[in-house]
Amino acid sequence: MKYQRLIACIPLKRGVAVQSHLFSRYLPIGRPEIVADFLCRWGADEIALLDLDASLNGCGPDTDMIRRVSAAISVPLLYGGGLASARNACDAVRAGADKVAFNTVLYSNPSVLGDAARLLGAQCVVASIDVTLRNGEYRPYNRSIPASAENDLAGVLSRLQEGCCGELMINSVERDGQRCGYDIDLVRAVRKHSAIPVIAVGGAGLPDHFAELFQIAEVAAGVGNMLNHTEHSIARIKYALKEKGWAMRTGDGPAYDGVRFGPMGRPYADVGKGEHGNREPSQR
Amino acid sequence: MRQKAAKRVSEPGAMRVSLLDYGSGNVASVRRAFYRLGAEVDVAFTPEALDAAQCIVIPGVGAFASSMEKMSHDGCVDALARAAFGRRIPILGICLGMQLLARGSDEFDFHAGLGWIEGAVRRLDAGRSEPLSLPHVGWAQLSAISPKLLPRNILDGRAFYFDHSFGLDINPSYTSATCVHGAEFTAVLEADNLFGTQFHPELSGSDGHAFLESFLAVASGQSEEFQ
Repeated sequence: MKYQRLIACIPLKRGVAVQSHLFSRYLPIGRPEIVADFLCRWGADEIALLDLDASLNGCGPDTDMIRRVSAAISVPLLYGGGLASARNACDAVRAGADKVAFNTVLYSNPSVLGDAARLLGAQCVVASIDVTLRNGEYRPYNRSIPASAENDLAGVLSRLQEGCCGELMINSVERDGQRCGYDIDLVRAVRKHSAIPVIAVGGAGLPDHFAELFQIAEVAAGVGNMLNHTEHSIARIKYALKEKGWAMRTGDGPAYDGVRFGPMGRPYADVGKGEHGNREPSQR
Repeated sequence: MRQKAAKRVSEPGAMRVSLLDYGSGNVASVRRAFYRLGAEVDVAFTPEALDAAQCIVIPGVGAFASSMEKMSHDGCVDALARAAFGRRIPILGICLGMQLLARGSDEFDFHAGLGWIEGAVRRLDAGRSEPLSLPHVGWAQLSAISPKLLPRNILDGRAFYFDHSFGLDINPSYTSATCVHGAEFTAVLEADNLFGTQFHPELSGSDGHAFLESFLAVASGQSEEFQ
């Protein structure tokens, strides 16, 4: 049996984990290794650490930070930010990343993905594409390459050579932090173009949004802002989805067995007899 | 936390695990996982280090050809064979590390592997008429077939993290557990002192932790038996 994947995204500004809104406003959360630690304990299937400054500032991956985050978790770590070469990617992997996400080089030097795949295997390489909706058309978006929006999405996807990447991370700019649901049309369009598994990001706000996304095959849900400021956030989402019949991996987080959830993803109040949240944290 | 771990490592009888570093593997993640189990971990990249090892782990993440090339260049291939068939110490291959045990791989054209396990590494969609989404990435449950030394309850129904486009096509008697993506493939391999997992136990939360714990228990039994 395969499980649906919930990937906890931790965007970083100046080394601080943040909540991101529309790719332009950021609210600080705290130290990334602490955020990663509790998200992992609550049952995240994967952690995506995305350094939003690294490419803009032209600096490579902060390997010390990757090492600290990696040491705090026991699930896969996807790192993105400032990866300009295959060498950068290997440094990130050596520091503790299990997969690497390339974004800016997709527009400036896409051959880097192939180079990285030959060293690390294609399954380790993720192509991360931010997408904006302009005049009814999906366009790639990258702040450090102003002309990126001149590309069309199909062109960028077709430029990814066969066998050079293992996942596509598709982030909707307009839905970033808006809690309005995933851009299902966008994810369907990408799936139509490519057989590579997709990580959809942007718009998660309610358990139903994940259920809507999981209707599409081979799509994982990336979720960021929604996880902060709610105790056991990931576990609650997973149990709410499990109640609806989705296969979710719940063994590692706090247990909410037998608890019913409302449409907002909050557990109903009649939970006194349950043991929710009292399970021992996973050993580490 | 660091202090606590240091104390555990110094406990008597702790198993020493040598991680084979062939340049690109995710050594850091594997090291972290064994460290949490209280094992003594060192990173080996020379034949001398492998000759002194008690138990060898070949981590995953990498491409078949570049990994084999690096290993033969460093003289590690012969040292691994001495460990596997001379001293017969336990060896665990993770993901690509398990695939390297086979005869060869089709990844980026055909490349020869260590050739210890009869069989080859093939793309998961080889011979299929309808397209299959690759790589197979995510968490999935195993079905235990006929585990030998590894206990059945750490395999059956547990959730592990997979990330691969290739699978082992081997003699089914070596297969202890399978998983399905399109078709069934070998998820856990056991052949005397050789062990392999197609999934990443080091990235599989508490189920992965339990798997590695059992592997260490089996491995320490084997080390005593053979040395």
